[in-house]
Amino acid sequence: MASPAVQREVAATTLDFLLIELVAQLAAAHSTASTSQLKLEAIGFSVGQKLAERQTTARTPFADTLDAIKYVCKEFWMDTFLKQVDNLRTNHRGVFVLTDNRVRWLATLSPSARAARDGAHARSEALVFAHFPCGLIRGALAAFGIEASVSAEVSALPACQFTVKVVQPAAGASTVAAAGVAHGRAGAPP
Amino acid sequence: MAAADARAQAVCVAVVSRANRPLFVCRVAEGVDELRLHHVVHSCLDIFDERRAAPTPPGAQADAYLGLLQPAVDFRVYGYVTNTATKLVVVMSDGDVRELELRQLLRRLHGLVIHAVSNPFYVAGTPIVSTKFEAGVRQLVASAR
Repeated sequence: MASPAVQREVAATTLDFLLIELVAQLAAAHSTASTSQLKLEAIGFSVGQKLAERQTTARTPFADTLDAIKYVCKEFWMDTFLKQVDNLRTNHRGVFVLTDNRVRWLATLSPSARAARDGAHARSEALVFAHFPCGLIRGALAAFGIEASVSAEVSALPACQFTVKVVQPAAGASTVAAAGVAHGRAGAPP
Repeated sequence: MAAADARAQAVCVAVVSRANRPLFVCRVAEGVDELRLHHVVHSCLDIFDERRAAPTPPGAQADAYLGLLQPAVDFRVYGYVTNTATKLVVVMSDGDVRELELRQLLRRLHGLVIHAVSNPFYVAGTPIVSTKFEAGVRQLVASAR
């Protein structure tokens, strides 16, 4: 960073309200839930990309995918949600499950009357607010050259599970390095 | 200018994307063929991948600054790669290069690139067309002289 001494700050509440408005506006502007969901995800994606670019200046380069995921769980999460991910699980085949027991942006939500009766409705209601963080994660990973799909699941309200599925590079295109996804794109001729 | 002759001058500054797409190539010194600079920048891209693929020796920290990539007849090419695999290239004229200053310059350039890509008008992966960025680069190079 040009001047690490100058830390810019923003009120967390402002950010909370902005996200709430964002979700509401997009839901109102699009007739189908899936379109507004895609839009939210896209916004998160570009924000995540820029954040990752900005926050990794002082870091040494990532050795592999796991390294990048760990960064997302620790530093990236810290910068975004002021805490670290509570639990990270992986099947070592490109699927990572990030569990956060108290996602800041979901912490203020309280299920509506209908949701209180219907558990499934409560989950889908809260899920709308998880699309933006999903995009954030996907954007950050994309900045490191890792193509992934991210989905979220809200089981009990402030907690959220993000499932990251890394899209493996096409086998046979080059030598498939076990962990070389991050830097594995050996120079294709321009 | 006679005293400065021995010191290498920056001739060209370039930013290349992860997919080896030139995002920004700027000639910062007069009297050099622009096409040739493009060629010099292009020809060093493989070296980036090579350095990246090479395992870091134990004990050594992987560094964004890659140092001298290759001497190209009358130029010396220096490289820097960000965590997001954006490649920054500075082409220097032949002469005495102060590595420490160059490292500083590339780090500052990285800062400028981050500001440029954070610009809402910028679309990721496309060439950086920004008067502010270009002015910043020119100023950066001028201050290093």
